[in-house]
Amino acid sequence: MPQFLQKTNINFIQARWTAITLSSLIIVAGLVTLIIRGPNYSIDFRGGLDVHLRFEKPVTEGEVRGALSALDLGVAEVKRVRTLGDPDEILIRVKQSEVAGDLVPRMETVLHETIPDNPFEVRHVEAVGPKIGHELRNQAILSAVIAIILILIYISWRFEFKFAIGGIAAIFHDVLITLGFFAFFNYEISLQVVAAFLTLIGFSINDTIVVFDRIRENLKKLRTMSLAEIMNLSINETLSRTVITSVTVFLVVLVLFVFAGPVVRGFAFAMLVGVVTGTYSTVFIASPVVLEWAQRTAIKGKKRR
Amino acid sequence: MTKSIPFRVLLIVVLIVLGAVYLYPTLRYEELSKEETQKLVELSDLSGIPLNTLGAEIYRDDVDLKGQIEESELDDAAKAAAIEKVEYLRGPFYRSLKYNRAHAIKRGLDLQGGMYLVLEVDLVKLVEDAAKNKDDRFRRILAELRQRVLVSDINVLETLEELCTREGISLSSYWGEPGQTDESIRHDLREAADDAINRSLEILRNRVDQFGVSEPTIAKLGARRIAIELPGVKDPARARELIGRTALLEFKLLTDPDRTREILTAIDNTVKARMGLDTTMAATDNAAADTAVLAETDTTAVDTSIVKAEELFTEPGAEVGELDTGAVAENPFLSLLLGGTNNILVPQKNRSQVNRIIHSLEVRKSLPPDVEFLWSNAPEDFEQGGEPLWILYLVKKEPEQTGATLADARSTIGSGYEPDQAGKPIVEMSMTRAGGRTFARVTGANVGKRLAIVLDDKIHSAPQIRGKIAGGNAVITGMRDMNEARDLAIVLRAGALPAPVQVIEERTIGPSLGNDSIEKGKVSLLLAFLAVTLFMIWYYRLSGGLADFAMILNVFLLMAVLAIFQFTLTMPGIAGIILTIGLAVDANVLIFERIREELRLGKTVRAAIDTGFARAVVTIIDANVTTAIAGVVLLLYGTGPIKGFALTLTVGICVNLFAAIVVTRLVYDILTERLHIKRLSV
Repeated sequence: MPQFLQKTNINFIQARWTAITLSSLIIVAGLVTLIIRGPNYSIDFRGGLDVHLRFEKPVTEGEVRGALSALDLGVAEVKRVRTLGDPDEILIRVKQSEVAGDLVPRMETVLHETIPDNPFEVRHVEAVGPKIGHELRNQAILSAVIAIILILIYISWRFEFKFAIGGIAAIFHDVLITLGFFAFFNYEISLQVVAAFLTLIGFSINDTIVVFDRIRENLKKLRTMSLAEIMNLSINETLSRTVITSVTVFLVVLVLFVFAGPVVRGFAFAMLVGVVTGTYSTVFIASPVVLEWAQRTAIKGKKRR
Repeated sequence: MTKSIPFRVLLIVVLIVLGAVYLYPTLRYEELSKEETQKLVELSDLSGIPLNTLGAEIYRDDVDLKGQIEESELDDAAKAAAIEKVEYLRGPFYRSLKYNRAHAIKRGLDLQGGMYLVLEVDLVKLVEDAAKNKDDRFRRILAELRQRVLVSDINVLETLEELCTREGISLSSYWGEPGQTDESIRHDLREAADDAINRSLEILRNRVDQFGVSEPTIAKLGARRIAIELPGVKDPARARELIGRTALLEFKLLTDPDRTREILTAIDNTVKARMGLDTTMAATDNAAADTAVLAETDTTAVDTSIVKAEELFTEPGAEVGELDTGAVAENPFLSLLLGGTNNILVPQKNRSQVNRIIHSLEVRKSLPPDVEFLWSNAPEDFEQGGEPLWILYLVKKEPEQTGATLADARSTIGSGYEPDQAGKPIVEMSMTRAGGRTFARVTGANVGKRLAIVLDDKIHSAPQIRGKIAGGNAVITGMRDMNEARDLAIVLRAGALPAPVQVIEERTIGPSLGNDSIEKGKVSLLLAFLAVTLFMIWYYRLSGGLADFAMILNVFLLMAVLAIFQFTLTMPGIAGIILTIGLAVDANVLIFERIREELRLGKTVRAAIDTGFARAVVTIIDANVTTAIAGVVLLLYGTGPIKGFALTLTVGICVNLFAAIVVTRLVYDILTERLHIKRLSV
């Protein structure tokens, strides 16, 4: 029986400043990339028209662009989308102010005429009016805020407020790092990705709560130990569970990322990064933040007295 | 926990059986039996219809497979054999397949392919149409209202009132009866708006029902939006056209040829005057004094003109290459037109140019208020060197009659000797009795004149009235093909929308993408399952097997819940199920780790299980509540496929808690109490 995680005694609390520095560096790097490149919104938030075509024989972007120049499309972008294990697709992206119903049939006619003997199939059409894009963005932000507030309330109710602070710190840590990865690898932020962010928030806090639970229990049981010692003990005691759960979730998310196709790839990518940072933040960020918070408020309290 | 073991076993068995009963149609529908597959393959070979098309169409009522085979170019023997197969497949097999389909887990549009549309009812137009005494101030208010509605989802009526208040006027200046209070006008307008949306919903439902898509859904979305789902729609362009058009049918009289000629000449002069002005301006570009004088005279005419001066006179020369520049200079507008005796013909290449001129502010201002320009619905080839020609009509603005008096509309192939009807697709309309009387009066009073049949501001034909037409029958011509005629008859029967609708969101998923997603979903599900199962057995041995069992039960119950409540499964929903596989073992891991710890403290197996469970359950609930919060928030605020994900995630968590707390506990109890296990493999 593999028992590599049976009884560990690693001093995580002592390593907290190294961990916080490392995280801060990654977050800053991610945010800088995000600011320089700007957020890469998907059509859900940006509005416009995306048409995915799959041709029977390979075509170049240039051919499609040339064919489409007959139509007055305004700002149009044509690019080839490669996905693992699938034939290439051509993505035609038009920035339009309203959802023009006859644009897609007109595109089809022109392409059939200009690129003969190469039938294509319209795989996916998405047209989102600018108003809808705006609304979806507001809705996404609103739902994220509501979820975070509810989680904060729940932790404050079940634990002490200082634990909620640790949990929220871990949430922001994970979301910011994942956002940075999105900016770095130029993944689009879509509705699905927002859903993935909410899920990884839930997952990351789930891990954290298991540790907090143990800290709470040990605080009652081992009254002579310092908070730092209890935290270290609790993290070590739950380490095996933390790692196993993360591994199983990581496995399924990896499968999703590789095999489930382009529809959920953005989602899977967010979860992939989120599971790793979530586990890391559970061990290295959440409890140390609670510890720092507790120590500082304790010092302040003493000063006041 | 204190319930006896047999009771709990019974509970779980009942749940499993129930789940299996509800899941059976899904599995059965997913996998055809060998015999059925065999027949399908044979049919495909015989008829030449691709197998996956057949697989998708065999259960659809609206697809006439027999008809397709009859019409195909097969020889008689092959036809007979193919039809026999169709009859078998559409016999008892068909019935069971339909039953299974109806009871299987619903597939979202992203899995079966189809079209999703969000329409917005144009309430601004409704408000505009309801108004009277329209003046410049009114137009200004309406323009601002339209601008605001364009960028965000606001309450149209409230914003209208706010704008009126800002302008210091009451609603009664433009709306309602004399002496009506604002309060009562507001009430009327709101009622009219609600009515417009509900009627639009009803009319669209009628149209879609007759279009022939299996299981369409139409629902109100918020205050003034309508969401439409058309699964498996084959021709998205046709569907879009059918749904999006207003279908306002009007009969309008053409203005007399003499008057038409006068007006056209007047426009020509307006344009010429304007061009002369522009040329002068260009020529005297450096003579600042002259320009200033000209500009002064110009201000009244130009002000906020939509047509920019340079566009007006640079493009005709460039586009109308074969016309000599002299003619263009002489008749800048008329030279763009052809013919003139009966119809005003416009070559395709001049159309946008002409359109720009007739819609420019000067021309609109100089046009008599009771007439308007309308185009023919499609260009025609008059055997004239191949250049397609559009017909421009000048008609009286006020319609003589509208489609509201229509009783029925049918599409058919025209007969008789009329060249635009014989052998061509047409729509025959019959009017209500009152409508027939009006029609007889209108035609009787205008013999010799031409009556245009206008549909959504496009003229389909404008026949000359030869005499009074009694009986209330009319014919619409000018359709490209039978499908168009059929669709037109549908929209005419369903009636015109009370206000135009705009498509503000469209998502169309091709059938192949849907199939790919299902295949990829299945493969991912299997691989995720294998990865987790093997990992757990490797790490926890027997207990790992137990966690795997709980996980399988978990996924099984999750699917059963989807089937029982007829929830819709989407691709993100499948992702949610796969994620559940990863999360499902967590609860068991927590339990194992606790029991392990208790054993290490030297407790007996029985005691270790009891305390381990008691402690782990608190943690499990605490930990799952947070993920559930995220799931529920997504369920409430998510849209479309995301809701599918939120659903499987949330249901997955609930089932997960059940599997861990009830089922795992039961297994441990059986192991210790009945089998008297003394050593635990955790």
